[in-house]
Amino acid sequence: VKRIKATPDGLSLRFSEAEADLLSSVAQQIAELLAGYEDRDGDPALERLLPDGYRDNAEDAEEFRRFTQTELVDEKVAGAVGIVDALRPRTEKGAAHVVLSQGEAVAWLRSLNDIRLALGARLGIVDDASRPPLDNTYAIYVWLGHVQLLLLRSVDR
Amino acid sequence: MRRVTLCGRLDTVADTLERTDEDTDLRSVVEPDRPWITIVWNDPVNGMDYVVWVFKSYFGFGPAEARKRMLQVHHEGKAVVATGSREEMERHVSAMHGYGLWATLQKDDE
Repeated sequence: VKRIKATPDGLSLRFSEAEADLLSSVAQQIAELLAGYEDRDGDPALERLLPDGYRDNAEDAEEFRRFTQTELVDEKVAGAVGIVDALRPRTEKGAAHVVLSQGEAVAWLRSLNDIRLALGARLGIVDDASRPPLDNTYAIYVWLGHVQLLLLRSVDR
Repeated sequence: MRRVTLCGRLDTVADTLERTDEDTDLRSVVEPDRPWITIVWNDPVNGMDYVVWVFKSYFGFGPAEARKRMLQVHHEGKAVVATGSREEMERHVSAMHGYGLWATLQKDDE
C-alpha cells in the first residue's frame, strides 16, 4: 500500500500479494485469539484487547466484563474477519484491490488497531520506554501502523 | 447548582456514617449526586493521530480539544474524557475498548 485513493466508490487500497497474505494472516490470527477469549489465562494480548473497566475494584470489573465482553469480542472478531474476507478476491498476480466505504474504513481502522495492540503485547511493548526486539513481528507491527495512518488520513479529512 | 451543595453535604454525611458503621450501604443513596468519570490511560501502542480521531468521532470534541486531551493522556498518563452517571460512563468505557483505547470508570473523587 503506497497510497490510498478516494474514488466515487470509496477508498481504494492496493495490496501486493505479500502484503495481502500477511495482513490476512494476522487478521485471521486475531479472530482466532479472540474467539478463545474465555481461556485467556493471563494472555497479555487478550488482556490488552479486553481490558478491565474498573481499575481498583475486582468485583465491579468482573460484573462489567460479564455485561460487555461478549459484544466487544463479537465486534472485534467481525472486524478482523471483515479484513480477511475483503482480501480474498485476488488479481492474477495475487494482489488484492480493496474498495472501502466510509463505514468499512472505520471498521478497518479499529481492527488494524486491535492487531497492533495484540502484536504490541506480544512484543512486550508495555510503556514508552519499551525496546521491542527488531524482528519480523516488529516489522509487521510498524507496517500496520503505516497502513493505519494512511487510512486514518483518508477517513479523517 | 443545588446538586453541588447537596453533593458536598451528602459526602460528609456518608463519610461520617461509613466510619461509624462499615456495613451500612449508603452508596446507593449518595450515587445519583456524585458524578462518575471516564478516564483514558496512556498507552505506548495507540498512535496519537488515532487517539485524536477517536476523541473527535466518538465524543464529538473539536480538533483542538481532542488534541489537548490526547496530549494530556500522553504527558500526564491519563485524562478524564467524560463525566456523568455510572451507566453513561460504562457505555463510554465499553465504546473506548471497542476502539482499543485503554479506559476505565470510577467515582469522581475530586
